[in-house]
Amino acid sequence: MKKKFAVTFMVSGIICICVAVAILIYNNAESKKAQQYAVTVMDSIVNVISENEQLDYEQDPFDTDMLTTEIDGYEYIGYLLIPRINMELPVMAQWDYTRLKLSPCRYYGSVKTDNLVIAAHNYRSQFGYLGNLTEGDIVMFTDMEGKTFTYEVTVVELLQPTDTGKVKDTGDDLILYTCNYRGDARITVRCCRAGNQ
Amino acid sequence: MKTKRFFASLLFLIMTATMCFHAFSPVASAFSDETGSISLTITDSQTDETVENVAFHLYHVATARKLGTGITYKYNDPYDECNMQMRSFQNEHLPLHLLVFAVERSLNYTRLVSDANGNIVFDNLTPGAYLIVPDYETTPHFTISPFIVSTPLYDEVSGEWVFDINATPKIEYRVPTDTQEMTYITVKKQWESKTENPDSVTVSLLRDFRKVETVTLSEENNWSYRWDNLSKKYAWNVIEENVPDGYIVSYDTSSNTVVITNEKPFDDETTTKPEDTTIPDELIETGQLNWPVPVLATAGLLLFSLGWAMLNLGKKTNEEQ
Repeated sequence: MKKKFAVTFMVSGIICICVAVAILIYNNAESKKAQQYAVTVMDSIVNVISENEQLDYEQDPFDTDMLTTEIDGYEYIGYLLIPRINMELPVMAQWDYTRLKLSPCRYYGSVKTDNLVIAAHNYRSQFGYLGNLTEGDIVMFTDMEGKTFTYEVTVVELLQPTDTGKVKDTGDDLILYTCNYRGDARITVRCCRAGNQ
Repeated sequence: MKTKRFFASLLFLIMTATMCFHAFSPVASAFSDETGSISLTITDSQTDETVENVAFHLYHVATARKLGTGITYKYNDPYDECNMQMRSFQNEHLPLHLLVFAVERSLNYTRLVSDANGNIVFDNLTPGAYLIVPDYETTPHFTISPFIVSTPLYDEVSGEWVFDINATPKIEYRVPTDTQEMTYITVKKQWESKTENPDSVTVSLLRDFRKVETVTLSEENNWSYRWDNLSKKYAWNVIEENVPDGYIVSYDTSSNTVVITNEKPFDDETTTKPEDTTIPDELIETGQLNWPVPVLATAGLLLFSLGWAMLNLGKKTNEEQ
């Protein structure tokens, strides 16, 4: 009887460990897939931006919409660069859960109205290290017209999932957020335009 | 790649520095607490003499904002409802469209009259775009089109921002009061949208930039109207009023015909449509299922250890017995 229990415990233990390993492998695969996708898209984005910069198109001073470019069926508004955590990622113009598996997405706003909010998964290849940022760290966003906006981190905080009012039109020039490890809160990084921009 | 991006950024800086609209060249700045001014000098183009007692109205239509290394403008409330976007201040219809919008809603303006030297100074202005309109009661002998001026502007020669702007309103023509010649103007309405459009729109005829008549365009008149017997003594324009929400209006004038197009921006069909993204009152779920990993791993190790211990300790006890 005791032997039976012992074997049951051991088998259960092995199953638990196998499931943990399976989840780990799956998560790593998702993260890696997003990373590979980002690398491919980044090349296209940089090429498109270079081409856009050559165009002699008229600026629309009243247009607060951001220029978007379609790559591989999805529209992009530019790319993010965060030197502190060695992160360079494209940003999609719209969000849904399919898009989020591939790339950070615009959740709200525009760089032209200083209220852009970008959300991404907490993959290590995406915003997994967002919580490592501290006040004063530099965040750069380059739009599809080639304009680079430089920001400084002002606040890193945890928000509850229901805190939508704390990311929309808050007066912060840029907000990045992702889930924490447990998934029950959002690591939120608030940024303001750096220097004399 | 980095070198390419560096040069791309450098190129952008140069392009931004040369970006210009109207007669000026604004570039980015931190428009923190600074204020500017707009000085007008009214000069008679025929005699080169300054003109006094000409009144101008100043409407603050948009606020200038930093745009990275550039500049952008955001319509002030309620001008954001005018539904007209511009590629530049040079578009002659922008000031007319805004003027009709402002007058119809009796929006606030500042009124000043030119002094003996023909000067007017609007000062203490927050950075932005300003619509400047002559009070046509005070300009009986000449016509000046409404125009838009921005403060600040970037002076490429000095490389500095200029907040105090000097502008010389263009006296476009002296009205030949004795002319008997007549003209006409035709307005045509176009729609660019894939959805159902409104049944009608309202357009107004402007004489010397003031509304004199309004007509409704619809399928009944084939979205077109022609005004005849218009005296050439005046400048005639047509503006759409109350552009339907969701549409952006644009004007195209060719000889005596004004084509007004209302465009409804629509998604490019080649792009993937987002799934339903409506999650009310919730920030997006952006986490991987990570927490079970340490929990399951720890539980697994504990269970396995417990089972192993039970099995082996049981064995030892049996052997000892």
